[in-house]
Amino acid sequence: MSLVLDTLTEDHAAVYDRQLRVWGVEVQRRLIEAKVLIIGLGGLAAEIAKNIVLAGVGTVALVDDTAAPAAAPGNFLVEPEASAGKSVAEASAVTLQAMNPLMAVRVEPGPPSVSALLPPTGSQLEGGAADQGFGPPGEPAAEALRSLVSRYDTVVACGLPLREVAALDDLCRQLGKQLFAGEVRGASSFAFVDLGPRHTYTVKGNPEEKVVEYSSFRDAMKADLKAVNKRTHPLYLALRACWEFEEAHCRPAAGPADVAEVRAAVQRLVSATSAGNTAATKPLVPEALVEGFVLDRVAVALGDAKEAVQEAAQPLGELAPVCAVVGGVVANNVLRAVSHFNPPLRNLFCYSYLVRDGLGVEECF
Amino acid sequence: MAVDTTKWLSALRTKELQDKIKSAKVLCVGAGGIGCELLKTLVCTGFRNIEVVDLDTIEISNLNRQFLFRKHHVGQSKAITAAQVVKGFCPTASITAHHANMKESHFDVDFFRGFDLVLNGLDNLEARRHVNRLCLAAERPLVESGTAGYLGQVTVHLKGSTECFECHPKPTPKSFPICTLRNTPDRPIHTIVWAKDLLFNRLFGRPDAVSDLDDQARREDGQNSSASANDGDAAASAAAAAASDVPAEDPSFFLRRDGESSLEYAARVFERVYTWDIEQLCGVKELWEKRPPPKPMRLEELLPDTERAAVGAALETAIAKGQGSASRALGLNNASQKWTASQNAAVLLLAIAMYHDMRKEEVGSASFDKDDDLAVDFVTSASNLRSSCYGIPEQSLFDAKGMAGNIIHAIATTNAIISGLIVIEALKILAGCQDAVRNTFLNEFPPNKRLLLVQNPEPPSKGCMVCGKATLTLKINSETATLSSLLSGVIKKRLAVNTPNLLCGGFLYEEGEGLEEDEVEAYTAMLPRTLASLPGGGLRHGSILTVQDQSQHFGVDIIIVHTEDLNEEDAPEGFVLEGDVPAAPKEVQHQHEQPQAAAAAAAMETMTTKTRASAEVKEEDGVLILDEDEEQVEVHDSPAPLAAAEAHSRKRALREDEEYEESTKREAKRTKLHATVAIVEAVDDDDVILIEDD
Repeated sequence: MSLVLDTLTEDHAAVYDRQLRVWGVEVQRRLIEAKVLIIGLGGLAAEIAKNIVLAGVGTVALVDDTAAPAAAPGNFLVEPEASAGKSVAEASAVTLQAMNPLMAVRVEPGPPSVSALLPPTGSQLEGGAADQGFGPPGEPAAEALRSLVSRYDTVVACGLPLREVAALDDLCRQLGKQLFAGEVRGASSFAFVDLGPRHTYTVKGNPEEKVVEYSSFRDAMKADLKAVNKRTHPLYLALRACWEFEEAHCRPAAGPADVAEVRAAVQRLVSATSAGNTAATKPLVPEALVEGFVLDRVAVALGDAKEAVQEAAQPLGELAPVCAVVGGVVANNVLRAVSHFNPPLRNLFCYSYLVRDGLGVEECF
Repeated sequence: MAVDTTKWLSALRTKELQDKIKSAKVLCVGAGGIGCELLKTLVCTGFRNIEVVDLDTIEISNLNRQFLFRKHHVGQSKAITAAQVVKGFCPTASITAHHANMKESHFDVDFFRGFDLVLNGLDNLEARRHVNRLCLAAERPLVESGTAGYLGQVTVHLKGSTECFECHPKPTPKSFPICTLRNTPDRPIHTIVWAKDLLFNRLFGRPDAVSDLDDQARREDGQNSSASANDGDAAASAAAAAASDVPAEDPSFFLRRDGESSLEYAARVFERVYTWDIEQLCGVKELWEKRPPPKPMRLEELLPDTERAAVGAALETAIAKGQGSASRALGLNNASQKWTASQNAAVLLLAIAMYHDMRKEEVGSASFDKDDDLAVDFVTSASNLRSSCYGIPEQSLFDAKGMAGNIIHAIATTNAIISGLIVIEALKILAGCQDAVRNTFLNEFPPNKRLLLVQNPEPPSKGCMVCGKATLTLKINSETATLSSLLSGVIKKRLAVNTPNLLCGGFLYEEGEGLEEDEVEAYTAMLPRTLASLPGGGLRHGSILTVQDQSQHFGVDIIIVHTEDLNEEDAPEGFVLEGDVPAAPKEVQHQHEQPQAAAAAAAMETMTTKTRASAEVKEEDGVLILDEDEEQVEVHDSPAPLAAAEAHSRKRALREDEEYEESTKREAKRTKLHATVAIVEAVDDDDVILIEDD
């Protein structure tokens, strides 16, 4: 079904009236033509999905086959009573489609099997395939994901282990697709954007096309630490330390046992920064930030009932208000990316209540 | 040692706080753009006891951002629908919906005392002030919010420890009731919005571009005639009646007919809009009981044949030379000079004709752009002609462009972000971490990479006429007590006010020198009326009456508690006044050395002169700002006062961020005055218009 339109229909014009006044008909048309794939449907993904569906992105596809009523405690798109027997993607799709009948919501079957892109655990290959992040060619799950991604313009992935973010990013780069990856861990959250080596956009009132280059996730995770100073958001170093942990252990750092190692990695990174050698009065990366960033991580599909997260001593997981904030920021930038209008975030958004009361900062690595 | 501002986060891991979240009673004011997001974020965070108040009904153009609403909900109550939909995905939540105006008297101080938190997602300044005052009176924490396009902000107001919403004068953003725009405009901005959003779209925009406005009008009619609950004004229902009496505009009338020349078409539009429509409106007598009716204009009087011919000649020249501006094609090159009525008529005809002859492909899909000369010509002349009909001052092209261009429209993502920020502050307050509360500003493009800026709330402004003064409770029979007895018994005798100035919603009473004769007469006429029957809805149960005496630097708020069974023993004077009456402060010395006094005076000025609403805006204009670091004086004299004030606030937040490492120093500097803390005084449902509108 083609949603490409020469002019907007009356329905579009009526519903999109206010936003048309913000970004105009041409941008709206580009949104209608865009195809966005959302992998994993936790609280953050639900926020992003809601926002881009409301904005009128023409095709939004969801992939997450976790059973709905039990899954995704922060996913407000799932109506528990109406979703028995459905996957979280199916249940969310019903709500999203009702929210905006003028676009198409699709459910892609199967699990979000990004892990299929990873090299098999145990065989720590150096170089070659490991650097590329791809599993053996011809692997059915990897091929399926490849073919899935190739059908969309933009991929939004939430809550993936960082190694899977890197592998998915490699795949997106290879296929020329845009990637947004994000995660909420308690009071902290990050969003990573890769729009490839050559993203073009215009700004209002200036037809001249601007070109920007994005780094891959892997490159961002090995950027020169000399560029890090005391104004850099410390979450970058915490994220990078977790990435190093995952690379070394082939699993995400999670739980109290891993905190010490991540903390040590942070220390190592700090000492390599330009601020690391000066006798700083305050640590560059607050202890609580590292601890929270590791402890509050939960898999998107936790398998707990909605109310269970309210129990004390649980990881905070996806804190709903943080999802709302970061989901809004990511969605704004998905809209900019797919419409090539206004400069999208480049390339890391860091946001934490453990750093400066919740300053939200754009960093570029 | 700085306070640990992350304690609330560790508290989040405790069962104690989780239980508190579950049991806390939360009042959400507004179920619109911010409200929908807020309700969702609250229940996802674990809040289970929520009451939501909104008087609006759902419109089709809400659906792109008020995500709880579906097309089949159009016309239904926002509050009730939102509550139902939220319960769908969170069945354990208890959500009580009130389809009502927050200013109704049963939402009184006792009602507010029933909540642990009050969260605002409101769309107008008046309601915000009202909620602010009730929160102060009930001593309940208020989290206030606003959005405008990509910009947004959240501020926290805790009685006694942070600024209240009214500690600093606010620029007044405007959204306008549709019936004011269509029937009874009385300010330039009304006719500009009409020209830009109604007439421009009807002539050049998408064929259905005005449909939601028409829908809104239709529903407003229905609402007002069934239950005129909002302001209960006779005018409102009269206007509503008028809107339905005037035959619905048939959009096809505004299409150009076969064989009609572009100028003939333009003339036909003129006669319809400025002659026929105005004549029809004049016929609706109810509208003109309290105000003079508009005067229809006749094209043949404004533009005799010779001048019509000149317009035709200008059109040919414009086409030949490819000119882009109708006013310049007519030789009107001075953008700051107001045009005569005839010149306005000529520009209007030429602009319409130029659209049809030179930019035909855009007709039917154009949208107003303030950088499009022809669009600005059209809006300027169209609004000026309408202003002439209604006796409203006309605007120069330059001024009209500024007013028309400053309209910011609402989008979804900003509301989502703001709802998250509101809930974060709510959590801090519930955790008892008052030290950790912050004001947060959301930027469209991050200055210095900072997309979200945080700022410590200021302490209450000493001169604030709202939170800096006492609140008293007055038990009185509002149906029998007269204004005269209130003045003599309560205001002058008990409060020792000398020259009272009373203000409550639409009611204003003043004494003292400097009043016009007719004002004195009008005020005197009010004296024998009962409190409940005073103008502006009366002083009834729950009304908050602001009493000021500028000569004494004295101010107090009185909450009216309607009581019928006052007995002689408890109330020998016919009323019971409770609360501590503050002493009038001493005369403030050396104003020039004490900026607070200036701010206080400014605050008082804006509080008292409701009739001079523009003063609020002007206070922001050219405001003196003491820089925290250098103590230099900057003068902001941006033509867009709100933007300037807002920019300053963001700048200040940014500076605080940069200063973060030296928080102790910052604390010391905190006592210094900021003449202004701006609020993106925003509207989420209706669009915000940032203007100076006098």
